[in-house]
Amino acid sequence: MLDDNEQISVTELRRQEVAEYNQNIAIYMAILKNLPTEWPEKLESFRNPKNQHKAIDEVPAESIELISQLWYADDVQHAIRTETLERTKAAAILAALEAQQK
Amino acid sequence: MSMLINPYVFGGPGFNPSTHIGSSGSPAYTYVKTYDWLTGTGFGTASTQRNAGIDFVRDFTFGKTDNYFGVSGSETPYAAAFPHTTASRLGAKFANPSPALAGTSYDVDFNVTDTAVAFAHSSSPCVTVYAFSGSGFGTKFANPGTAVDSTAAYGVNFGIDGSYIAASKQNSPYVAVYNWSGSGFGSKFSNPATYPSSRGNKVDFSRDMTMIAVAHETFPRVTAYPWSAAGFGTKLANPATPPTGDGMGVSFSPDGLSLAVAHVTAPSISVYPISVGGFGTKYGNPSPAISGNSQNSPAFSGQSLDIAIKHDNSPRLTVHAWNPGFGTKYANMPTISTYQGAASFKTKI
Repeated sequence: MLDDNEQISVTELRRQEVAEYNQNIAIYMAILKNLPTEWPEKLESFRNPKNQHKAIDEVPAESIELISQLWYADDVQHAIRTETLERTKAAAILAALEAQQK
Repeated sequence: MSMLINPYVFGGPGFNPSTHIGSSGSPAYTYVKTYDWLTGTGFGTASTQRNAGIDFVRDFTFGKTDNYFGVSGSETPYAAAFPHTTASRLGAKFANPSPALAGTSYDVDFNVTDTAVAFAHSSSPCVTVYAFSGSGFGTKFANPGTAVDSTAAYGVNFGIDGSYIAASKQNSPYVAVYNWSGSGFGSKFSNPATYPSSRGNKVDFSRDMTMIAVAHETFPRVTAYPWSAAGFGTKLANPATPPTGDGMGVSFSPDGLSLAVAHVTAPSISVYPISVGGFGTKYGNPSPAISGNSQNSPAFSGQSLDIAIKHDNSPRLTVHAWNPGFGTKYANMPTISTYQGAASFKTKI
């Protein structure tokens, strides 16, 4: 069983964790505003490569910057979803810890 | 009727045997070499010794595709890698990575396809990952959205299925796991409900990806959790007989049936039967006793038939048969090192 000081410490760490997810989500959403998200048909075949560092060698030189942005936009959109998923877990644990302290 | 078998799940007969074992510290701290390895026979022919150029070798590991050997160490650029093939053994060092790591590197791991190599190190970002290929180090992957630690990470481990990267680290919660893909770090998984008790030194996933264990400082010195795509499960109850000193390294056997913890204080190694149901009764200690503290992860050979232990005093690397339980000790490696950085078998996945 945790003593009061340990309980406060664990709760504070969990608060920080939730805050980190909140910050990440806010940053990713801001990043997304400045990235293209519509894939041109001619580049669709490059979407979702197993290894971006390998796949970039196959991309036409004039499209490297655009496809880098599109890949990153896809990654960021996925990150917003998974950061939200993990934030939900951490927030649920935090809520339980805070309830114990009341 | 055909039956699908996940090749990563099953150890034991049918799983690839280990073909080589790594060594460091001869003739000086910065040198590495490898020996051929044959279960039942032991150390064979040595490779050419190579200068890693990073002073004190802290850790080394083989790649998983029969091609590479990675080294972490104490002096800039703190990271080195070599080709390593069965035919040619240890080749000439690849060019140093750029940018260099930010500080002393304590652990190195390749992902399952050897297309990425990760280093745990001091100073932010504490874990750095580079793309890797037959040309050596490639571009550094972007750092994760949530920093691994503000001080240091001491262990890093890719899940064998290629979807995760775990770090053991200086500050609470002492362990962190991130999604991993061909585009690099994904989101950090939420922290476990119950953290390890102190600084995480090394971390390992079981081969079937159903468990994750951390060797750490202070009682109980090893903490294990079930693992799934949803992240950490409920912490397993501590072993009935915990390690006698700080946990410095941890390894699951490839068959997933045993968990070995390297630690300070005799007997320096504690091995337990393990499953998602919990720890079993600690196996008997090896004989002869391990000489000196063991301060890095032990290594099981590919078919879970041998266990290698790095320790402080001569012969510094001891290998026993594993059955499970400690069997006969193998003859020492032909040239005793002045320092042994790690225990690592080469096993092609």
